[in-house]
Order: sequence, then structure tokens, then C-alpha cells
Amino acid sequence: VRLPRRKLLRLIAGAAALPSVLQTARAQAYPTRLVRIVVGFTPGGSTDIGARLIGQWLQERLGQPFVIENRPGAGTNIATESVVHALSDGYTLLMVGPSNAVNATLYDKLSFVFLRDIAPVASILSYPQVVVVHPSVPVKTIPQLIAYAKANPGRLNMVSSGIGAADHLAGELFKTMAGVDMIHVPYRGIAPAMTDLIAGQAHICFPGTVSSIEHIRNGMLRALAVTTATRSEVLPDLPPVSDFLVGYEASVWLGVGAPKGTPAEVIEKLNKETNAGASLNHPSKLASEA
Amino acid sequence: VLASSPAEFGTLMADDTEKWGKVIRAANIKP
Repeated sequence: VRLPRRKLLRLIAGAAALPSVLQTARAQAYPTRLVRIVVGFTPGGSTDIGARLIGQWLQERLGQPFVIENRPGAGTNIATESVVHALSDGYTLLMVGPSNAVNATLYDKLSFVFLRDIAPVASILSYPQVVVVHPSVPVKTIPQLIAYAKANPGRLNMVSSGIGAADHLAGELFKTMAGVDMIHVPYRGIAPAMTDLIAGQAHICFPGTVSSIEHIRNGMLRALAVTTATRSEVLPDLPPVSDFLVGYEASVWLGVGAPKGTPAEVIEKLNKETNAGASLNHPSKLASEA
Repeated sequence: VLASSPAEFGTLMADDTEKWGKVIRAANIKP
């Protein structure tokens, strides 16, 4: 069969455009069923609450259920591994945060490579950590803290929510940059760490504002500085640690990831809708109203 | 500061992985 040249060219052009047409159609249709958001922590923590806020937002915007699936354990590695091995079709998502970044080095026998196997979708929120001490510790500023720690090496107990947690690493970064020796005491979660700190069983911690601001406001803990590079709207009277230790910076962030290979147009759609939700300050309630 | 695009968020993930990797190795932190 011989086709006229013009008709043949039209057919070739149409065939070449077919993949992008299909991709657009797939993105427009997505999601057509329930989407799972896997969380590596138990319900009730900041990651879980962040997932529920953004899940509710996406559900309202995209018209399908976004269900939170809590899979705690192994420092979020169980949850990450389950998503790495899920179908890369946009129907399984992962809440990601500093734990994922930390685990890449902390654990040397993981069955996945976080940066290789999880595709970034969107960030949801970021909030500062705070340097807090029990009021019995005779310091009110970061320079005083550094001087006191240097004069009393190994005497300050630094509690955290666990080995490799954001509050632990913010403290280790402080120790290294300030050249001080404090004893790390890991707990199983931030709640028992805060309880012992408030009771005076420990001296210092670097918790997120979410878990500490109430104790700061009611005077149970003394806040010295925020860990972000600049002052925080949540605690505007506090200077950043970097005013005294140039280059110091730590913060907690949360975002959404997906299995590697998830269609780009689906990721773009989720990114656009997540950004719209985040810009309306839904998740920032975590940091400012805790 | 929130990252707005997937690529920017990927940069944040990579930067934090590198940064905390250095801290973990320097402090010899083990799980």
C-alpha cells in the first residue's frame, strides 16, 4: 500500500506524540484508587501527624483515599524497604525525613540505597530544633554553655530520642564544633527523654520545637538557642546557635518519596498538590501549635 | 526553607545524607 507523502508524515508525527499523550492521560487520571503513605514511626509523632495532614489534603484535592500505614521499626528502615520493593505506580508513597538521610551511613547492611531507590516527590515542612537545658544548669546563653561544658568535661548528660535521631545528631554536631565533651544518653523516643530532662535526671537536649515548646513556655526547660541558621518565627526571641558557632545548622524536615521509577508525570502532579497544601500552612501547625 | 520541586527536594535529601554521614563517621556512632 502506498500512502501519499503528506499522509505518511502526519502518521509518523502522530505516532511520535503518542507517548506524551499517554503520559498526560495517565497523570490526569491519577489517582484512580486508594494511595498508601507508609510511615516509619508509630502513630502520634510528628512524622505521623505530618503524613495525616498531607494525606487528608491530597485526598480532598485528588478525590481518592490517601491512607496512612504505620510500619515502625529498625529506625524507619522497615518502612523504607517496604516502599523500595513496592510497585512504582504512584500508589505507594513514603514519608521521608532526617532518619532516612542518617540511616544511609548509620547502617552498613541495608538492602537498599536511599538516594538511589527512593525518588523525591515533595517536601512538606521544616522546623527548628532547640538547645534546652534543665533550669538547674547554670547557663543562659550558648557561650555560657560552651564555657561550662569545657570546665566540666563529661559532666553534662545529653539526652536524645535515640541513637541517630535528629536530636542526637544535632547534639553531636554541637559537641564537635564547640569542642566540648557531653555524655549522650539515648532514650526510646522523645517523650521519656523529655520526662527525665524535666525531672532533672539529665541536663541538656536538642529536641524539635514540636516536642519541646510547651515545656519551654511553661518554664520547665530553659531554651538557649535554635539550631536553624536564622531565627525562627516559632521562638523569635532565641538566637541561632550559628551566631556563636559559625556554620552550625540543623533542622527537622519531612517530605514525601516514592519508589524509583514512579512516572515523572505522577510525581509532578503529587508535587504540585503537596506544595499547594503546604503553602496553606496545614502542616506548619505541627511546629507552631504543638 | 521548603524545597518546591522534586529536584530541589532531592538536593535536600542528598545534602543531609552527606552532612550527617560526616557527623556519624566523625563521632563513630553505631546503631
